[in-house]
Amino acid sequence: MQLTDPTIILYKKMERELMATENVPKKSVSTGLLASTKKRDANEDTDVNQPSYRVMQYMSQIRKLREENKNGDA
Amino acid sequence: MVMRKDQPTFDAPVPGQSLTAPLGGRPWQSPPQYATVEEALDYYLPRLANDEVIAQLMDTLEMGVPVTVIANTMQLASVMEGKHTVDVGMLVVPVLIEMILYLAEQNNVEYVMGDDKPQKVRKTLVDKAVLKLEDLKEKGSDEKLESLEAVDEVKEEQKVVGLMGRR
Repeated sequence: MQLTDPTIILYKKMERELMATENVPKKSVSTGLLASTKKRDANEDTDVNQPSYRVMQYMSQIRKLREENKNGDA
Repeated sequence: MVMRKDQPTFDAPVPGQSLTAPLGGRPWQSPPQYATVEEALDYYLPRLANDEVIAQLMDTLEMGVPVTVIANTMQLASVMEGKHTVDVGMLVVPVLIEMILYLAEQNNVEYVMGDDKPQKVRKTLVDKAVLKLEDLKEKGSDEKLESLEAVDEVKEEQKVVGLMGRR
C-alpha cells in the first residue's frame, strides 16, 4: 500500500523533482571580454555534493535510455 | 470436519530479542562495505546486467510482483548483509526501479509499478482507514483549494484598524 511503502513515495517524489528541473530554462551566460571570471553559479557545486541530486541525474540518464528504447533509436 | 481458523503464530521474535546479540555482532551494526551512493550502484548495476539475474527478474515481474517491492527487497537484503546503510539504500532505490523498468521494457515484459489501488481489500481496520483517507484526499483536494482561496480573499479585505490606522 502506498502509505506504508516508502519506495513508491520516494520514486514519485524524485520523478516530480526531475520533471521540475528539466522544465527550468537555463540562464544564458555572458562570455564577453568584460564578463566576470568568478564562478558563475555557486549552487552547481553544492547540488553535485547532494547525493539526492546525483541520484536524480542517474535516474534521468536511465530514463533517456528507456525513451530511446521506446522510440526505437537504440 | 473441524473448521480451520487462522492460528496465531508463536515464532515471532520476543520484544527486545534484537538486543540480545552482542553489539557489533550483526552485519548492519558494523561499518558498511559501500559508504556512498556511487559505491552502492557499482555493486548493484553489474549484477543487474547479469543474464541469469535478468532472467530471474523477468520471471518475478511476470508473476505480478511490483517493481517497487523488488527494488525495496534488494536494498533491504543488502542492508542486512552490511553492504550499505539504510539511508544509502533508500537513495539507491529510485535508480534500481528505473533500471528494472528499463530491463523490463527491453525484454517486453509487462510490469506492475506498485502504486495501483489494491483490487482485493483486506478487512483490517488499518486498510479500511487508509482507503478512506485516500478517497477523502481525492475528493477533498478541490474543495480545500477553493476554501483556501476564499480565506485569502477575506484576509485581503480586512483593513488595518489599529490605533494608528487611518479612518
